[in-house]
Amino acid sequence: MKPAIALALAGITALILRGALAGAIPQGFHPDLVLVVVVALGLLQPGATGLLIAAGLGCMADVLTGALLGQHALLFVVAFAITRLAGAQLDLRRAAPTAFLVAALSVAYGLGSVALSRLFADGVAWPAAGRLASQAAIDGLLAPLVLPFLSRVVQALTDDDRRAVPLAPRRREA
Amino acid sequence: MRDLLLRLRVPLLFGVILLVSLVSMHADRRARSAGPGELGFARGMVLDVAVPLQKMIAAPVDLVRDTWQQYVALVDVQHENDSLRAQLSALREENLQYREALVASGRLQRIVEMRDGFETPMLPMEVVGQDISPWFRSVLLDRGHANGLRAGMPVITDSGVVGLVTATSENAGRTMLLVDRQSAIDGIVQRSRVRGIVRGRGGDRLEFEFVVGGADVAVGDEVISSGLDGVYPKGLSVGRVEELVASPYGLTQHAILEPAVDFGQLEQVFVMLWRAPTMELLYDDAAAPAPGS
Repeated sequence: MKPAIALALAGITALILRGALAGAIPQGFHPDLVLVVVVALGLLQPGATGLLIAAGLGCMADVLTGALLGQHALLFVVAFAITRLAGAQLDLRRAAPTAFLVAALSVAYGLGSVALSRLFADGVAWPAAGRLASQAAIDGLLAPLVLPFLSRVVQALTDDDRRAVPLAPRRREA
Repeated sequence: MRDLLLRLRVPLLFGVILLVSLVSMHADRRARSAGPGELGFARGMVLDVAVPLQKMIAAPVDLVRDTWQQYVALVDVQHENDSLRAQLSALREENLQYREALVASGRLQRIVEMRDGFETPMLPMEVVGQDISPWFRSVLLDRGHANGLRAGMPVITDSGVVGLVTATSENAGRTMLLVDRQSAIDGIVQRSRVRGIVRGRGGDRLEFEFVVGGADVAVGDEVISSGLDGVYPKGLSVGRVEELVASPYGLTQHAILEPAVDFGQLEQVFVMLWRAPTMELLYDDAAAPAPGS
């Protein structure tokens, strides 16, 4: 349970950090930490708990951005599912495949955001290819730095959980 | 059966979340069409918790940035200062000439009337957080409906239009910036009175659409709000024409605008405690202050 809570807290921190630091980072260079945390959820918490945390982070993102309620939730659970599928095909312990996956997800996330906005509202323009590419590059570069850190945290907490399980007393043989 | 459900619980949950998200988006869109207003308890609570945290985190970052900008980055300030003084002198002279031209054409009176239109109470607010997604452009304000903030109120700075308050909680408010893809404002070119719609593009530029081909619009023209959209008062500065783009057949053209406001440097904004009559009808909340009050 501890790893799931840690990843949920990491996601909430990423959401708040992104908003707080947006003013200090030039427009177009904002790394999407939340997406990286969702990928971490897909890799490290691949069950129903991870899926629910991803959806919850999406709902929070919807409230903070003013997007339609459910928009980020949908995109994050799709990103979670893609990560799970990719995890079965790629060796995501290595930096390059991880960076590639996050960059691809970043492009898909950008296009998906605008596609869903267009589905429910008129006159929403598609993002420029350059903007998508720069966002993908930033997110892709960030992922190999953040994911191993989250992985180590989850590993440490998992070990803690295991240690906490009381061992049954051995019976002395007569 | 139970084993099958347990085995398929993750795909089933995935499907349920997708379905619920789509239904929720549809319901949210309908609710907003009916007139957005104050946020519900859960959403308000998220904002009320997030805003102070963001403010707390942003404070040291702002301190470092300000120190850098005000001390470290001022190495060439003397040279820049001289250059700016020269520019200021030239601009003052130019401004005098413009004023003379305005008086001569009898438009000064209209500008005075336009200024009168702005004499509405304004509430200064701090921007405590920006959008958390690269694909939406909104900011969080440090005051909410406890301070008189209502959805539908225009947000400006001394430079021009910032956006529109779209949601409020007890102690926080959210403003959709003019550069958001879903923002639009009815604008006119100040010099030639050509009218069009200014839309956000999601980046740092605006698009001035539906300009009839051959209309008198030139690079450098100022675009101001027309007031015809029933959202923003007339005469607020929106942006400056940076580039003209003609359609392939020459029937229409659009222009790329540099916003009057630097959205990357928003720190303090003013919320006009005013809503146009159409917005009053749209939002229809009795607690809102009367227009012009």
